[in-house]
Amino acid sequence: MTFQSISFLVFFLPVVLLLHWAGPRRAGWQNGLLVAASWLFFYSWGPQLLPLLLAVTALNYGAGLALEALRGPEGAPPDTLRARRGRLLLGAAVAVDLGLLVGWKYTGFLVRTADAMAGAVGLPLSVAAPSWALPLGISFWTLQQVGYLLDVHHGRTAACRSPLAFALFSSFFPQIQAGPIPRSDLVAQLEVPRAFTLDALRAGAFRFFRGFVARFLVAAVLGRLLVDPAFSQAGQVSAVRHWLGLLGYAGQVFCDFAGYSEMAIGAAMALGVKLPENFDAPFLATNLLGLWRRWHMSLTGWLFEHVYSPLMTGSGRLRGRLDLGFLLTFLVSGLWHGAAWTFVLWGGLQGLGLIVHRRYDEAYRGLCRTDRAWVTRRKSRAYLLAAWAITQLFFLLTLVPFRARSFGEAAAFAGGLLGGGPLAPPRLALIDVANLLVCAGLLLAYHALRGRQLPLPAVARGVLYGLLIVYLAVFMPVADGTFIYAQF
Amino acid sequence: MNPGGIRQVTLVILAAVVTVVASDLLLQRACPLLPRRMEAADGIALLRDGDPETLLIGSSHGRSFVRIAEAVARASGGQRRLVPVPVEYGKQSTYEWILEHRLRPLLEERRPDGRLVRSSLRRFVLVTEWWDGCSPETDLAFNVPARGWVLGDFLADAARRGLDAWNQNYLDQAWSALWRGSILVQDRGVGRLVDTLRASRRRGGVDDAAARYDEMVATWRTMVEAGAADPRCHDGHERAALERILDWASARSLDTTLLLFPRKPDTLTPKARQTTLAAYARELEALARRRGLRFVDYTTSTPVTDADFMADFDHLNPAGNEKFERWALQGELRFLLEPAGRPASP
Repeated sequence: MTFQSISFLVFFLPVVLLLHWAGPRRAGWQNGLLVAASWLFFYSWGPQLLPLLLAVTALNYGAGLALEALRGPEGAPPDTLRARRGRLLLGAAVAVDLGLLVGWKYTGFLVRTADAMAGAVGLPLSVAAPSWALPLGISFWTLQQVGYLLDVHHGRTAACRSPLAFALFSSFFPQIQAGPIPRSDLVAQLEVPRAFTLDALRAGAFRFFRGFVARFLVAAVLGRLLVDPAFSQAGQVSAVRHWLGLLGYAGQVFCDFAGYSEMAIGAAMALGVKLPENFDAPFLATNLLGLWRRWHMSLTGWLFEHVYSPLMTGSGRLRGRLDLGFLLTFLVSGLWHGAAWTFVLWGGLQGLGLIVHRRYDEAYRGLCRTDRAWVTRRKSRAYLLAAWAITQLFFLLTLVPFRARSFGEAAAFAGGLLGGGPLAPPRLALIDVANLLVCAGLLLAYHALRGRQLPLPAVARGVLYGLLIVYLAVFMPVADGTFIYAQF
Repeated sequence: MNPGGIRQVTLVILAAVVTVVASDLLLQRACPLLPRRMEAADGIALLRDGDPETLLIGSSHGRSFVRIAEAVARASGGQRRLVPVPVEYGKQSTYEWILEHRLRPLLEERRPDGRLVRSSLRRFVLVTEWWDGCSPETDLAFNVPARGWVLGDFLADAARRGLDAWNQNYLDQAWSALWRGSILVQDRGVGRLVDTLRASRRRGGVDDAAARYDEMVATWRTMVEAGAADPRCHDGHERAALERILDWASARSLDTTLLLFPRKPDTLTPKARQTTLAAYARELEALARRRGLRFVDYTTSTPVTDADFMADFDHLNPAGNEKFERWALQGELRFLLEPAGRPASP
């Protein structure tokens, strides 16, 4: 049941909203209803995998309570028996969570890699890589639950007492498929009854609609008209078409995921639950660190909190080795995005980019300390424009391995950017060009408005929404298309 | 709740609804709604409300027999009734499903004294073509949930397997049926609106129409030729379904006809005629001979021409249906005008 389907839009979501707000304003009722709806949503993607989600939920619920019990009073020495048991339990629970993720998502990748390595030394394993159906959103809810366990263990949050609230935390249908990855403080929201407000419903509906347009219209149109033709003929079409394809892909992957996140945040908001923001106009960023503070913010936040910080700070093994920390964190990010070496390359490039940025920033700060003119220079339009162009160009180019299915395809596409096949304009009908212009306009408006509504009278806004609905009905592809982030 | 806020929201919703409805009506001027077509459910309803002498099952081609049903009823003063059950995107397994789950319960319904409620059935006609014998990608084609299911079927399947694109065809079709008057809903997945918009922006329309015609012809020719080598057309799945349908007809002692529907001549290359089409015709003729059934091969033998087909190259247009009806009822389908014998083995 995708967010685009009639079953979700016309039946599932309206019924859940109606029952949620028409029923008693008690956390038990609201959570019970949403847990049932969330499990039904998960079940709709594959009944055979629901027991896995239930088992993981039960495990982490129990582990959370036990970790809290073993935590001891604040300031207790870390080497007591109780603390050691806590660490052991945390390690075991996290190992189970990550083990399931690795087992489901990476076994095939590991087998293929081992086979290739063995083949390279003349000892092919000839083992068929398994191809299992991935449980819906496993990459996302694994991180969410591991984050919860770490927070409970470190005393940053209290363990959830209510099994119903925890079950909802683990399976909340708006975000279970692809985030945003909420922090453990979501549990506190779910433990109290939510009150209905028209403003929240209205804002939620607006965000859902905005995300819907981005995800199912803009991303789909960019993918169909620009991206797929360019990548399927990597190295054979002209350089212009390669660049258009790559630009289109940046727009597609952004609209695909930011759109989904908007829908998730909007649907949750309409149900009285606040999810974390996930995107904040990343194409306006003027440095790579800033871009990663605006792109998939919930994942970046999780990685910096649970991977980078423990390594870099306090008694972390890599204390002070910031560059290595960036590199490792983004290699993990790359591998999280996909079980393929192209994603690892992409993560490595992001890490290297951040290292370069950090060193440059450090050097520039040194200049600023010696001469304040460098501060003024850094705030000038020309500097910001150049910084923006370099940042976005770097990010754009790193999308080549992100999109390509193999190093060979990535190399062919990269070669095509420098001068591919004969110069020939894309074969687009006038209506396709108009569609692309509309989508580019929507993408620009998305960044320009940054979550605000157009300052228009109610009637004009209604007319605008009506026209967008008509446009969607006519031009939105019928099939769901490719939800890029659902693969992760 | 803030009354000003409610007013604002109401205004936005009203303005949006008015815009959508007005746009829908405007778009209908450029691209009028197609007349409502007979669907499987309509045929099932006719069977439920009547007691026909002849049952006809076929794909969308079954709609061409609505005129024939009317002509038969007219000629017999309403004495003989033919009920066509056209199942869009037909496959033999689809026909079997419809027969088993929708038609047989009606045909085998009995009165308290044990007599059949509908006892007049004497004839069975299966309208088919080579494509019906090629297995769908799933066990059953998507037209089963879309055209054959009722709510109970959908709920049972969703509970068993979860919701997927296949069983959601039921919901999509139910939603579409709610909005028969809206071009925006009816055109989803069809694309006539976009085609109309494209056509209105084109220069040199005649050349372009010719180019599109050639493109369609090429697509059809390739598809029909490919049928001969497509393993899904020879895996035995659909043939087994056909045998089970015929077993049922045989058990009911029905006078059974296997009828191959006419194809648009332009879409058939000599290779397609000699391979895909000839093989299917041979297979069905042999089957008919073995079972003692009537076999009518209209694939290329009718007087309908390219001009008698709709723009989809697949279905007869109104003029084509009229021509086909007159010709068929004077020829091999004349038996439909005559009284059927008592139920006996054919």
